[in-house]
Amino acid sequence: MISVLPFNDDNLANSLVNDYTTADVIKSKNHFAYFKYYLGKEGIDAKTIVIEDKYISKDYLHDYASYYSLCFEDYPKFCKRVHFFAADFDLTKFEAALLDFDPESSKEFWQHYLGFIVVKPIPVNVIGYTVLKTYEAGKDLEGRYFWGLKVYKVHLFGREIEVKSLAFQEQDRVLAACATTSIWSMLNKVIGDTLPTYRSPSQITNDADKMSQDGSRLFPNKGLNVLQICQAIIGSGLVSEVKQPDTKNGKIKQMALSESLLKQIIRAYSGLGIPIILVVQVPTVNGYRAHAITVLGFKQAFPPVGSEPGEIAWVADTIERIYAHDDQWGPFTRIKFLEDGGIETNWTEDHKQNDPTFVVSAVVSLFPKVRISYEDVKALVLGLEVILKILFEKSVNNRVSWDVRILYSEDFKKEIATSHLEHPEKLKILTSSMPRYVWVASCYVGRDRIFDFSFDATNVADAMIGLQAICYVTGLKSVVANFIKDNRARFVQAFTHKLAERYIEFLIEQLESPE
Amino acid sequence: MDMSLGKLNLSHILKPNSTLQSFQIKDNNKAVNKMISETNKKQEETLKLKQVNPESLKTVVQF
Repeated sequence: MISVLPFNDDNLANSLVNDYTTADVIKSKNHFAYFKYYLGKEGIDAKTIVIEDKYISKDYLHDYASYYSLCFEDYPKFCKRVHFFAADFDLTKFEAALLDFDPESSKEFWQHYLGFIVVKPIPVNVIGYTVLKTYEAGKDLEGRYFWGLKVYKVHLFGREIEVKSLAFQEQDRVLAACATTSIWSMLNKVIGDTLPTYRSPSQITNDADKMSQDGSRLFPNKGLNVLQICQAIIGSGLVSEVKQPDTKNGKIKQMALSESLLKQIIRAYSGLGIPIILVVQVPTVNGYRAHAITVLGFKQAFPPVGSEPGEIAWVADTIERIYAHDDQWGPFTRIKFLEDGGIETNWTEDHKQNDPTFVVSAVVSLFPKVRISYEDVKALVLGLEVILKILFEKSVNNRVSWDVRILYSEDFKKEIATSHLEHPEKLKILTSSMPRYVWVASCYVGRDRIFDFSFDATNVADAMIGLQAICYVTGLKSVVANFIKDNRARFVQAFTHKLAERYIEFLIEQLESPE
Repeated sequence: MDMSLGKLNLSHILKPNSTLQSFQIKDNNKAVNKMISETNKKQEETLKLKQVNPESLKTVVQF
């Protein structure tokens, strides 16, 4: 049966109820407050709700088979799917649209599709597989950039509609706590593309360990520790790197990631498109509690303006806010940076004293072949910065900043292909053999990209991993090459790497090559 | 990204009436010595962050 309702608070609440959960319970949930906002006028502006009342969700079916079907209570296996549209219509018009295969009028109707929420037939924690459109997005370095999305093909009453999003759901507190749910969202990005096997929340929790960290049974799940999060990631076929905090934080009495480091890590790994899991301490009425969220986008205001004198400027510093799936609120939640090193999440806004949230570690998921970490490349960039800073001192007309990202080499080549390098140089780079993953450190003067230094991300950290030095300014390469040659011994000291001499040779060789 | 890519003239990134040429840094240039030693310190701090504190892995994410 199909129901078509105008979008308003009551209809939204009623569309999310099930036999175990009343509209009042729905209205008391954080998710309702968030969806009301996100689907409302300030968000993606839904106008109409369409309810598909008998829907098989593969995701819920896995959890149903492994847990809910074994309960004495007769939990149904069918879910409800609630669809949202950014256009006003009634049942008659919707049925007409389902029968309309005229390319033009059909396109006009379905372009208003905003996505869906699956309502699970279980008590309270009803928000299942959810795919919703994002806020209006720009592209890299320009406004909102959602790098952790993929295209979902939604099949609705004989129609196939494409939605660019990342799947979301809330924890059911039985098979999955927030940690599992954050991993589930992250894995959703790579499943079907690089990871062949789908993993449901219960399978992810099973991958994490044989039992809870307190020795008790795994289900009902009491949450995962960071090591178990990593084990679950490895169980899926990816590998993990845990990024360590760099500053002491008195408020939570533990180390936390500084704003700059957090932004650098998010920017650096965004190029692979795999969402990043942040372990955060959120303020609650009972003090700070550890929670996990999945970062998949940011908003940037490039180029950088102003920073501490003598401090290296990172393009990452221009990130103004990040977007994350928070399973206890909703998808694409907005997170701002606060002056005291904390972040402002929905938890902060909801807290009586608006206490900040703090990031205590970042779990980066990677393809196994990526072996060089951001820290390895950053140490090299700090050395390159010394050379250019001394040479450029008082001569360049704008501030110098660095952008360090890991990229698929094909994406790096796409950037080269659309650059304005001379054709022979462009062809030389495009036809060169590169590893699948490359680190690229781009140097900017103001908005102008002047250098790209690329590094082999699949090598070993003790090797000389430099691949290419690409210069976008006529006549600059030779000046830098001569400057390094004229001060070779001095600049070897600018690198702490055991093969510092080899790095200097690499730079000279690359920069001396004809333009 | 393509908006910021492009083969520019050197003068485009330089201050008016400025030139850019190589020079030899004097051995006793204290500012450069200080810059290199501070950079080495930052590099060590950066690489130190690769060492995972085992205690941090015990944080239970359960909320």
